[in-house]
Amino acid sequence: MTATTYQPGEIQGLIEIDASKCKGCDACKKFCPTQAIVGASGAAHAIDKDRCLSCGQCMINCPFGAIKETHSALDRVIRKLADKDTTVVGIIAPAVRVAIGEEFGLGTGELVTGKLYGAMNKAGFKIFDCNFAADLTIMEEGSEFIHRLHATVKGEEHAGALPQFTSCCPAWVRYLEGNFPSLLPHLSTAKSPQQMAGAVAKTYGAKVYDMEPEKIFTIAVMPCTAKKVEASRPEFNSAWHYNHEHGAHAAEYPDVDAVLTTREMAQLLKLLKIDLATTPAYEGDSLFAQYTGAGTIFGTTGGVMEAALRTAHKVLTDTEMAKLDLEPVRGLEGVKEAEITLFDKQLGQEVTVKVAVVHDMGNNIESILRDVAAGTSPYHFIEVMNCAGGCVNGGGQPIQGGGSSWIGNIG
Amino acid sequence: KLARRNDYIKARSAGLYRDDAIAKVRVSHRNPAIEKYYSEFGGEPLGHLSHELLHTHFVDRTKLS
Repeated sequence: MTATTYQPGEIQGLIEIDASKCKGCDACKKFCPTQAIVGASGAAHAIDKDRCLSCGQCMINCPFGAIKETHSALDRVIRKLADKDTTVVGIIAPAVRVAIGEEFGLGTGELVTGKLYGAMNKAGFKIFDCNFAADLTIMEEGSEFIHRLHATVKGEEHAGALPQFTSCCPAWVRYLEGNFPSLLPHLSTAKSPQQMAGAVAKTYGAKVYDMEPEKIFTIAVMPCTAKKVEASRPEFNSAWHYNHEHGAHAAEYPDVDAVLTTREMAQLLKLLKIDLATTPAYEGDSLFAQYTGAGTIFGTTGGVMEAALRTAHKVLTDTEMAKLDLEPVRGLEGVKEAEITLFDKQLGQEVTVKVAVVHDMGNNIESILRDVAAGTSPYHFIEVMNCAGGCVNGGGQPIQGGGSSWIGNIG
Repeated sequence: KLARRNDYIKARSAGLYRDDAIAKVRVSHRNPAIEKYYSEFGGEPLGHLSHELLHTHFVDRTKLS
């Protein structure tokens, strides 16, 4: 059997180059984190799907619009929205709310949470803010970090590897799985917010919505193309397992049924003749629309770390952080670091936690991984996001056309 | 017209930091909906149900065929 980097059932070859449109300009190669794009300068390029992470950075930065996605769930979503027997749950990622407005003539970066809820409500979605799941991620991933930290300080066997890596970014996870499998024990075992949201919507959510889980159709709205591949991973059917154990007999279903990018959600709303720009704000229809400031900053580089430290501080010291804004992890520097010293009440001693934040992964991760592999990394906790700037600049976001998006470097 | 890439990344990030700044609650552990999730259903972080629903395992992709 030939080697592959895909598990059975996973979407393969999501990002594809249209040879008839490609000029061979090489712009895309500069943005590919894994050198997956092959072909000589001037000749049409192609993507090696086994190396590709499906991050879509080549696509949003192609000056000729020659790169496309091969999978869209748009037709399926439209059919489910029209089906009266189905409860359609829209799981909205943090970075979508500051980008989708651009598709409706609003300003770049304009925050449109209320309008987006309103437009999706009009389209027939229940609102499940992925920021709620981001808060849940902090509870799980933060607790896991504290557990590993304490066990390590106490010198316990099987303490869990430090530094701990964040596990929210599917392109980063796939990169580590394919290139540095020996470092997988460093990844937090917490699912990404998208996958937590799907699993919760079809278990606890089924009670909240008073609906049979198999009649709930979960659609994640993501700034990301790699999230489509993540949702297709065969192990992500926890809700089905859970419901099965509790007496349900329905055929197997995934936690997240479909993923739409920010672009595709805009397309859907336009097809349904819903103008987001003029839609009145809507507050949501359940507790799943309640989120915190910590959850929302997941969408930008450094946000997961900032959110995690806010909660870790409270858990370790029993007091809230005096200043919640953690400036050292903000901004566009390739690798950011921060250090906090606090009195750990459980351990009864002072501890200094060193953290790092990496984005624009292809350009910044290598030396970090080399140190971790050698056991010389100075950090305890490392956030990694594939895309430059984090999810706000994900491969599923509105494309700034006319070649304006691809010249200039991060800095 | 050049170097616009950073401008829109910064504008979108600024939008999220504004969302954080105006939020009534700014720390995950004080989200009332999260408290409700754990008390009505999930138990506690890293508890039995968390492992079943909220945690996963990873795959060595160099060994797939």
